[in-house]
Amino acid sequence: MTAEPSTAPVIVAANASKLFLDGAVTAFRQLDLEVRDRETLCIVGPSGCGKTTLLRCIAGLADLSGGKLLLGGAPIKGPPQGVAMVFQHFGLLPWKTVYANAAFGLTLAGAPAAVIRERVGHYLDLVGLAGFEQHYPYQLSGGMQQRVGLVRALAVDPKILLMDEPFASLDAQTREILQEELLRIMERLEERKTMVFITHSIDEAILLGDRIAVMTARPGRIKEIIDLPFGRPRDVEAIRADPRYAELRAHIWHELKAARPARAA
Amino acid sequence: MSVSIQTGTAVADGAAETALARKVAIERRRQRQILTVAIRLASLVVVLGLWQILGAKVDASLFTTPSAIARAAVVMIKSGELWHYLWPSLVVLAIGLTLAAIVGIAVGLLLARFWVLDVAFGSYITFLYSIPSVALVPLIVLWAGFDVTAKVVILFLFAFFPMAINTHQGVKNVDPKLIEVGRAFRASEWQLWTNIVLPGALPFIVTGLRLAVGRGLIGMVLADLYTAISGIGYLIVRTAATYEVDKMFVPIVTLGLLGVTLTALLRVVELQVAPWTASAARE
Repeated sequence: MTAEPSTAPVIVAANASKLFLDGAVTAFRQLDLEVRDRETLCIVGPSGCGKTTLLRCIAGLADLSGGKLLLGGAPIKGPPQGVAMVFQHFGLLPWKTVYANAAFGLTLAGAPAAVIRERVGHYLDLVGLAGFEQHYPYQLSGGMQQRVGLVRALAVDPKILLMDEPFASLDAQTREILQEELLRIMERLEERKTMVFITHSIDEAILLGDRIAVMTARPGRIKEIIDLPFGRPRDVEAIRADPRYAELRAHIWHELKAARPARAA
Repeated sequence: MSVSIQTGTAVADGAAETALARKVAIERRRQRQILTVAIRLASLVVVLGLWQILGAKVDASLFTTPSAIARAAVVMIKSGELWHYLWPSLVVLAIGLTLAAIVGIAVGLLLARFWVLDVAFGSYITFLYSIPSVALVPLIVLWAGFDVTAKVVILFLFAFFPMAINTHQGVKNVDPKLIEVGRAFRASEWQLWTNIVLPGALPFIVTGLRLAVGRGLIGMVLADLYTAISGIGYLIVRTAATYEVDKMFVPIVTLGLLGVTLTALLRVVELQVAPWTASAARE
């Protein structure tokens, strides 16, 4: 399927659970998951199934309530090195220019100016934002802002890219364009990363993922993991036309419907 | 074939349309500006005219006319009298505001950063801010006498609280999502403050500064009135005592102009240091 054979899993969740409000609310419970090296794992689930919370735990922004969550074999304590996140709300700093926002991670890490210039320039170019370096986020469209968010994450050269519904707040057309751009970037061999991609869009998960993990509603648990039959590089149009696409779509849709608690239906 | 031709002209039309739309928008904005200035001028003429007519009918020892004020102003500026009284007040204002800004921002930041300090001292600040600052003026005069020190202390007292409280609020209001972004990119505590918390709190701090200037001007005049030896407030007291109403209005108008100028100056500073807030306000 994918070019590289997957070896030891990069991220392992074992019997992981996360409770909120002194245990009154369970985000997820008894959750087991393995993320393989350089794969794109899409996690789909109904809203409130704890998928974003799981991602925040992997990012070291929240602690587990129980169980284990390992990154490269070691438990996660605080934001780990080699992990970068792209946020649904973009999370750009309004007081920094496009360039300074894109360089944020590298600047914090104390990278030399020449390295920052080279890497940030490279990725801004890649997403078509060359020439916008001195603009401020408020001067950009939503799609352009999220491109900056993506560049900011890629520029630190992370091993693992965490995507928290990155395209959910964009309009349908922009979303599709960005999905294709992301595919194109990840298909360059040297840019290939382990990616955990949270989404509530089944189509997005099928288009982007190597595997899809379907989560149940709160308390969240992994219900099924689906291996996708599409290789890389991917042609979005061809995949959409593939009969297996409709089949997968219907199957996941059915799974999600079943995963939804009856009272919420 | 026909499709490509159509798109070709469509693009050209699009560019022309954009240029035209921009031109129309600029023209409309310009007309609006001219109209705004014209209305302001007309309003000023009417108000001053009415004042002139009505003012002339009142006893000159109680009220005055704009023309009389203008004449008095020319005299007072030429003789240096206005400047003689204005200067000490400006010095007090500058020292008091600077101290209030520095100490106020520092206290606001410390209370916001250290939970223990907030719990220990936060309520005093709220309490002291709730007391009308005027009530403390006699006490300060008792302690610091009638000279410049007392005036600076009074002005500081007026300007300090809005500074400290706004800074504190500003830090508390920084978007937690942005803080999380900082943490996700492994920012140290110092980096978090310099990159996210301080710039995020900046609009509140500038608002605090604007409030501090307004209250500072009140404090300045009040200090002059109470200590009544020098300063622009003293000029008002003295001219009022001698029924020179036209001369009395000169420092009053000066104070108004001073307030407007300082506020406008702060807006310029705000545009310079925080352009993103200005864009938000425009929308």
